[in-house]
Amino acid sequence: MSLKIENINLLYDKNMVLKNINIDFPLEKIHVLLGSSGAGKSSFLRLLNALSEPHSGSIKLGNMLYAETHPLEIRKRVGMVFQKPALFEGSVYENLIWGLKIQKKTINESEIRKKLISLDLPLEYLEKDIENLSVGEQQRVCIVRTLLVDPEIILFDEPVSALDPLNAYNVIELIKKINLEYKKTIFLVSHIVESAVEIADTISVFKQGEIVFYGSKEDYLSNYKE
Amino acid sequence: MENDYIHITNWGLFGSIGFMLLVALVAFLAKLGITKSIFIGTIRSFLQLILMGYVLSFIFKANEWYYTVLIVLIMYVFAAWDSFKGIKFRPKNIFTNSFLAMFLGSIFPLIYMFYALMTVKPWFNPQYIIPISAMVISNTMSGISICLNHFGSNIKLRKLEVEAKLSLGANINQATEEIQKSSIKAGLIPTVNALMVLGIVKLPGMMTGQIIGGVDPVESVKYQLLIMYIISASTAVSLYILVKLIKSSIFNKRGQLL
Repeated sequence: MSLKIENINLLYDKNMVLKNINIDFPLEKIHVLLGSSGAGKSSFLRLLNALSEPHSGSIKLGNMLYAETHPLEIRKRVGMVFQKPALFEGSVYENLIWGLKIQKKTINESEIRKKLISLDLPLEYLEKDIENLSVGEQQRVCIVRTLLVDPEIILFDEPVSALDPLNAYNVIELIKKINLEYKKTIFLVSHIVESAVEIADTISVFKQGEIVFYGSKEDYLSNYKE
Repeated sequence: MENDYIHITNWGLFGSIGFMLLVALVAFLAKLGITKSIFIGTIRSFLQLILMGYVLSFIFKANEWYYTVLIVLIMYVFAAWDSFKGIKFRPKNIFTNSFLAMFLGSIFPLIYMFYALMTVKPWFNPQYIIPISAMVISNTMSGISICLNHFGSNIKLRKLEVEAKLSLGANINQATEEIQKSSIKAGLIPTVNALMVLGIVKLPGMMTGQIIGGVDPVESVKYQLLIMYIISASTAVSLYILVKLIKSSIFNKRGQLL
């Protein structure tokens, strides 16, 4: 199974934001998307999360064709963690179970606790108000919240841009752990190139809406030149 | 005692423009940038009310059902149009949505009030139908304006929250539920607050008018209570309908924010 992108074009305010994207991404891998700001990386992730529609082309996850599937169904299989922690009013626990409640999924509390521990979030955080968490902790809660609804693919749109270097490094490590332990396919947009490349299986380089390089980490390190 | 009230002379009316000059002076001194609006508003209100006085006088004399219905419909149209003036948030079909919300939210309470509680006869009696409808529609319009403004600014401010909810599998209703609630609340608070201070801080317009006109204060209180309660009901229902309609108009058919 793969995530197949064919001839994707995206227009925004009459500007071509994405041009003729064609890639077959294998699942259960970490795909790192690089490129300067405005190159189209975030727009690409939004397409994958069905938050916007391509102007032309198709996206297919396994046998599921995006254009023929309701976005609600797509988002059950593809989750997203945003650049800024997008938490809702209430406690950490309320935030964690938000997606589960919406998707009418039942999960016992011990499962939640297990995931928290495995992702290095202390259990006493459950009752804390989100206002009392640091930005790094808030972003971790967002990650666990997405993980709990159990999508096959998790999209990370600059998840560490608001964090200090140590927290950023920890979150990148957490993403790697999610891929290894939970077998999730990861798409990661990050400006911290070195640590992102380190955990990557494939690298895609975006430039002015086009993917100018796609290959393995090794290929990128030895062959890609700006 | 009936009709034994002080008549305002034309000179007296003209003198009241001094109040608006005071408003304009404050706006000018505080550099509010709304002096022109105050000027236009003063002229408009003056001309509109004078015109309305003549129109009402004509309709009362004509005593035909279609004039009453026409005037009420015109009020709805103007109120729907004015409800989003000065508000940057302009989702598609805003006029239709505002009109529908206001109309559906207030027409049934009005019918109940006119024919079940007040037993207005004949059914189109303009003396009751027009002023009471006007009060209900204008107050509902104020609620709609506040609600629209709140909804618009919150959709912009909380876009990330809405998309994060969509991303977790929420439908458009679930993703905007909090914004819908806070918008209804914002639109309804002035009405609820008005109820709280009624009779203590505030002697409302209708009651004041009736008392000046020589009506027994207890009788005018009954009217005022009916009016306040129907305004609350119309505003609440209209706002509820409005957020449901507006919510749908800010997403495309696939539930993506426009």
